[in-house]
Amino acid sequence: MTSWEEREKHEAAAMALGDLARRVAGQVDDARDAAGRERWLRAVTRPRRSPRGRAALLAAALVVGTVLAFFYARPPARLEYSVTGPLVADETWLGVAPSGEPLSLRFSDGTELDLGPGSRGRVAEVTGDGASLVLAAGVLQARVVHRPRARWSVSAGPYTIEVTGTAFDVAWSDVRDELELTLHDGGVLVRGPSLADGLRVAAGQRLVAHASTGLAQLSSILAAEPPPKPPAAAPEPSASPAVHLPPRPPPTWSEMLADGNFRGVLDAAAARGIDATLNRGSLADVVALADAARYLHERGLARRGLLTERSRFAGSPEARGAAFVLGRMADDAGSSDEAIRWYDTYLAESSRGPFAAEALGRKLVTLVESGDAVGARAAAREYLARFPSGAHAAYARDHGQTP
Amino acid sequence: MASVPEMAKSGRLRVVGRPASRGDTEESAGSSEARVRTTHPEHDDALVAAVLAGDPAAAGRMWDRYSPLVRRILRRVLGPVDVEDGLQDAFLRLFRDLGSLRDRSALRSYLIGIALHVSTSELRRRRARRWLRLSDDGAVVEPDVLPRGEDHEPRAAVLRLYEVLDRISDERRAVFVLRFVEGLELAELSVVLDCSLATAKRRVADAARRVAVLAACDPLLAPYLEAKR
Repeated sequence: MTSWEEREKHEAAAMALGDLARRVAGQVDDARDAAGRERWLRAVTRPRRSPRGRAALLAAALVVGTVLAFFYARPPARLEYSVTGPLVADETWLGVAPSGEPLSLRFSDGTELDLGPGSRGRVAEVTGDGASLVLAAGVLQARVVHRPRARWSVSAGPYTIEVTGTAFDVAWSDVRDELELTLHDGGVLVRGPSLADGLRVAAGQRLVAHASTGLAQLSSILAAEPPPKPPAAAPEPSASPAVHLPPRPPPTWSEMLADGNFRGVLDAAAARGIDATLNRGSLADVVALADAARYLHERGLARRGLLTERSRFAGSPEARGAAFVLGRMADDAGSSDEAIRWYDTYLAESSRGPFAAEALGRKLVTLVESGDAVGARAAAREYLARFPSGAHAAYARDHGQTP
Repeated sequence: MASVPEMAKSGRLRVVGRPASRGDTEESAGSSEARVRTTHPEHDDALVAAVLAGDPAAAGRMWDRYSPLVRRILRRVLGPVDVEDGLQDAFLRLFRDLGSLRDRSALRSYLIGIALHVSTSELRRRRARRWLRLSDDGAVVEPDVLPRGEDHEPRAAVLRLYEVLDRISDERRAVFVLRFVEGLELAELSVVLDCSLATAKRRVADAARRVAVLAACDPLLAPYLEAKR
């Protein structure tokens, strides 16, 4: 699939989700709207202050301004940040499981950093003007808020990316010693092997740099062509200052999945052997295979993958989540008993998991539709007790009454 | 308020493929193929001038014309939550800064920008609340404001969609909502985001990719994508 086709596919998916969001449009309360209108009109038609009142206000503003100037003249307070997402951490490092969701770091100045699946990094220093981060391996997506004196940096292997305000994705492979930097906005300065004076990378550009050879290539991110293949023979040293990178190894299945290349994952699994993958593949590969198969409606293969997650990797978050997905698949196939069993399994293993409300709600619907009034009432009461404002709450109220 | 079809029949509507330049307000946004707008007899620049001159009736007309748009954008960016305070905030900011609006006919885009600013401020507050654990799990949706009588299936999926949007940056979220939920044309999006058309296209593609891939791997949202394939 070409990058253009990929883009069209993603935009079609985004449109479908936009349609979904519009289907559940909020309602306007006319009385509240009228009250809001009155509030706004009172605010904007308030009588203007007299000259004496304005002078008093000015004097007060001067006092406030002096106080503010005092505070602003001091060194800025150290930024604060929070970390959200499934965390695999040791003493100082933040890590994300290969098949996990991104880890988000949110700083008090609005800067947002996301550590991708399979990545590892740490916050080395935080100041009032920014922070220094170390990316040991994997992908970091950054959206740095531009402020006066802002100073942010990301170290990846021997490279350092200096930032004042921009949005970029950076990937570092400690296996291949390769840095890949994609600039969406603003500009950054990159220093590292063969870039001692610093290379300025601008919005819309991609830099791929190889630490072991010191080679680097700067290109447009809109360019669809793959990275150049290595030359058959060694290039003349003086032929070009530009650089050719060694061929990049093929993407991992998780990377293909993250790019939406579901068919590629299935093809790669077929080439390796489905049984071999399921019996000996890593958890990340099995998860990618199951997800890709599910997306492509290969239900049998998806089910095998999910069951493998549960049997070979029992206890992992992926295995627990697989129970819910198996329940949904059984539900879709009309197997009520099996669906309820899987929902119960999920709820037993992950009572506060991300799909707990949905599992209990779906169990309730399945019980109602299968005619189990007693079970449905119990599920409805449990649902309302645990998720009184949940998406199935109205349904639970309708079916939780004793006849 | 009359419905769009009713207004179309009465001849008070015109259908355009691109945003009109002045005096128009969307009544129903979202279709990427055609957008329906009302044409107001009073142009925005005249409306702005009247409000600045202290005409309370003009301020009321400004509210009537644009509060549905601002409310809708706040809801679509923030999710199914109560947005009336945000709506007040947006209009008070508008009034405060109205005098500095250079191109008064660009009121609509200006207001969308204010609505985005209010929304992203609220998103930051939410994260701070979540961080401070002022709510148990930092839940950001209040499903009670979802309309009753809706099927619970899309309700659950919409809540899930906003959980997915919580996992991307505020800017990507705003771009996704404005382009794919609100249906803004790229040209207007570039004005609202204050960037070039090429940059707007790039941001749209980036936001679409992030949301589509996250949704494709989500058990609740994937069926909505599969139905479209």
